[in-house]
Amino acid sequence: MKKLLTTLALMTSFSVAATGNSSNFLEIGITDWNYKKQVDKNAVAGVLNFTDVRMSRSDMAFNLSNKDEIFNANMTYTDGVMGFKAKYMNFNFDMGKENGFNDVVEMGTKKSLAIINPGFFSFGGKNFSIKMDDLRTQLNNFYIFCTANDPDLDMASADGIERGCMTEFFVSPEKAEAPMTMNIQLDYEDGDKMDFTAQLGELDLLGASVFRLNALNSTMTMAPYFMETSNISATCMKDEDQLTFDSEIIKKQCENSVSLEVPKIVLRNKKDETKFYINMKNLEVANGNLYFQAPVIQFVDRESSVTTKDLTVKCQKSEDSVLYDLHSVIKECIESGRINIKSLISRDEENLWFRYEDIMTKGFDPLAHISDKEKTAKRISFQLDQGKALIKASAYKKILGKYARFDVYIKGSVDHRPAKDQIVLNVDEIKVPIGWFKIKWKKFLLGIMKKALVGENIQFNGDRITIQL
Amino acid sequence: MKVLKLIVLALLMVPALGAEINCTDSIGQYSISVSSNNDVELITPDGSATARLTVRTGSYMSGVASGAKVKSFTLDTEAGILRVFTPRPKTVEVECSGK
Repeated sequence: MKKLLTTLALMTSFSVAATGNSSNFLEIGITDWNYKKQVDKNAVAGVLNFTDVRMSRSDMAFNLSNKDEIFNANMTYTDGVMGFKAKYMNFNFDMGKENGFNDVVEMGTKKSLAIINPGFFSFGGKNFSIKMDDLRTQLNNFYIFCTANDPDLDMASADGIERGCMTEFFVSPEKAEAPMTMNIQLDYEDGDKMDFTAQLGELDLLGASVFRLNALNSTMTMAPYFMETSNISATCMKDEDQLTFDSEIIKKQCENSVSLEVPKIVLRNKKDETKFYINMKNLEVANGNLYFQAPVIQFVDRESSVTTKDLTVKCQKSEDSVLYDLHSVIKECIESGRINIKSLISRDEENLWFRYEDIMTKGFDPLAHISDKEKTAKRISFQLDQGKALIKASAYKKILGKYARFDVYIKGSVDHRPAKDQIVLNVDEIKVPIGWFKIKWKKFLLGIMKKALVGENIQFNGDRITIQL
Repeated sequence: MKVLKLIVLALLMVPALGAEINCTDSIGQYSISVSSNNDVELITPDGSATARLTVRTGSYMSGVASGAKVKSFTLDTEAGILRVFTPRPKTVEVECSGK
């Protein structure tokens, strides 16, 4: 982000004079600006076509109107100096040898307007793209506005923009009639690639402390997963004294205070051909705990489905645990966690797997064909405390057309093996209906758990149940 | 009579002293007035706001507003372009009178 800001403020190598009456400013209407890093430092690295420039530094101000495009310029970038050379003009901006623009491989913007001003920063337009070593970002119909609300701060510098944007920023579609689209492609060191696209409504930071996000929809591909979401709304906090951009610190502060709502998530695992549907009411981190509420979670493969209704999770969430790392979350939940599921329905399916493609596009309801009376298990609860587990459930089996209820109680210990992607439950004690033999509960449990987990990811070995994640 | 003349003269001078520059769009939705003290009053469909100038160079000026939804503005009196940021930008053609 700092690199981006530095880049946007590239023409302001102004010194920061902290006065409200500073006359340092830049306003540039860009028709087309593109840059591609060159091996040959003296080679032309891009072009800048603009409509007009207003610029002032200290007591010198000038307006430049690019009438008949006579000032369209070729761009060079050599040893920290950005040069623009036109037929009747030659500009050089010395950004210093060590600056963030050195990491930029490609950058471009079309039909945009940038204003760098003592009181605010504004940048919006048709599109903007930037490519660095492992990260590519593209924005369409974008608009960014930042202000520090501080008359003593001069924002007309890279540091000023950074401080302003860490105080109050507003990101939205430039033209309200259409959404702003954002695409991020990220290459991981292990060769994995992430491709994320979202249609953003608004993203803002208020009072230097509250981030708010609304996105209409998003898609993410990260092999073997493909995920679609709708209507994301999220808030999180940052420390109001954190006025420099440090992605790690801000990410951590946000993660430990996030509140997220996503009504629809569809996830496909292309490797094992399973699909997931999640109707998520809320995911929240507060007071050192993680809270998760999902009215519906459904897993399907080509032949069967498992649906949970009203699932709630409360687990501890220590500050250094990582919310988007499944194993980190599991570790926290095993230390102290409560998971409750109101009901679970496991059933055979014929074409539900195929109909999943219609959930986002045609509003297909993947629960519409499931009767309210169907039940496989109810009132399932997991209580986890320092690796000890207590599981209670009421399981149902249809006998002669009627449901018979079996209350099951299991006590054991949980062994989490992140390196093997496994959770192992060692059963110490079990209470099952009177008259059951030990062999029966195993068979019964295996049946229930196999039904609860789509795919062949569960194994019984003596009193040990191994779940392969 | 002299007193009356003085009052009339004083009344006539008030606008000149109060607002150095006045700009208005063709349908009167947007207007901006800048006083000789660099105090700014903005009227927009999103509400009115006062502002302080942070930039004033030739015909170009800009400032940060407080009040209503308006966050800031830029004005080029020569080109007749007023940009109001709420914070989404709105560009309006205006006609200006005054210095």
